[in-house]
Amino acid sequence: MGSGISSSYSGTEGSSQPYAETYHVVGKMMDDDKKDPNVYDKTTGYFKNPTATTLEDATVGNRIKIAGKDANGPMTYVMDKDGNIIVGKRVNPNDGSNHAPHPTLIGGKDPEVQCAGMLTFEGGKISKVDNQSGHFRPNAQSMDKVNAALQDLCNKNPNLFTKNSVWRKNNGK
Amino acid sequence: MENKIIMETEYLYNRSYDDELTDEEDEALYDRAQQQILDYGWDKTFESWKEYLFTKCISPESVVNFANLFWCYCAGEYVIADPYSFLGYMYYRIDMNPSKYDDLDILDGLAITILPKAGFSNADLMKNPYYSPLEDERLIAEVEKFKNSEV
Repeated sequence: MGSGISSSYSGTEGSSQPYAETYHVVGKMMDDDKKDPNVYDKTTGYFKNPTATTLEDATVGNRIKIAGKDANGPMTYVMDKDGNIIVGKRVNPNDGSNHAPHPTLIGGKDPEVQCAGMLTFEGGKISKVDNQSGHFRPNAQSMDKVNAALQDLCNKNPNLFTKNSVWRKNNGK
Repeated sequence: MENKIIMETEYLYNRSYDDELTDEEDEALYDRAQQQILDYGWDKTFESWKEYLFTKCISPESVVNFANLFWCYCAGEYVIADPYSFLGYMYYRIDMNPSKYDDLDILDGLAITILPKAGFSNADLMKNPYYSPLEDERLIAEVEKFKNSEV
């Protein structure tokens, strides 16, 4: 595993970072987060999103459950250094009018991920994924690893995916 | 609005998102929603769904239930011409309090999906990762409009 792209990267608004094995939070975003005590604590860093869970742990039968209900809509996700896909709610439990950004799915002073973005669910089934994370701005090439992990999961249990999802179509079931 | 489309909309929305359905039952509902869109077109279908929301969904729970079903029917895939009115009604009915009523953050999910699709880039998370519907002035203005129209 590489050491990841330096957090000094700023890029342009909306642009992704150059490809790397792992990514740190983009410098400007971390600077902004450090000003918000509901997101970043000077001693411990990013708070840990209490709803953060691996897809594996959130699986109940043929559904992904969040807060005891079938996951629905877009949710933040990261792929951690070990290859786990971690999802969680976007609303900040410390401040309901604010959000829990991607780094809070890992927590700590310098969270590092292989990819991040939004994972979309429909009635407890996985339907889509992207790399839309303003904090990590992962390169589109890193989506290959996420897609491979989801395809592997789909091969094991296609019923966790919507019938129109790309992984299920690839799987042919 | 003709009776048939109203009945079809009621069939799709007069149920609970929390119902324990089999995959086959879920897929049948999804297919039925897609057939309605195919039969009537997206604009007319959305008009019917919005009418259902505005007239039948008064409590916070019923609004969140509608939003979850709306998402399941892939409605986030389509462009909504006036998304702020649609979202404003829902946030008005939950009294701008998603923490209390919206376990799955579905209203937030709808906002960050349908607003950029309709051209409101302020809700595009790549451009504005800190976007919050609760701090969106256009949305707040819509909620105020609904509040002021209360009898």
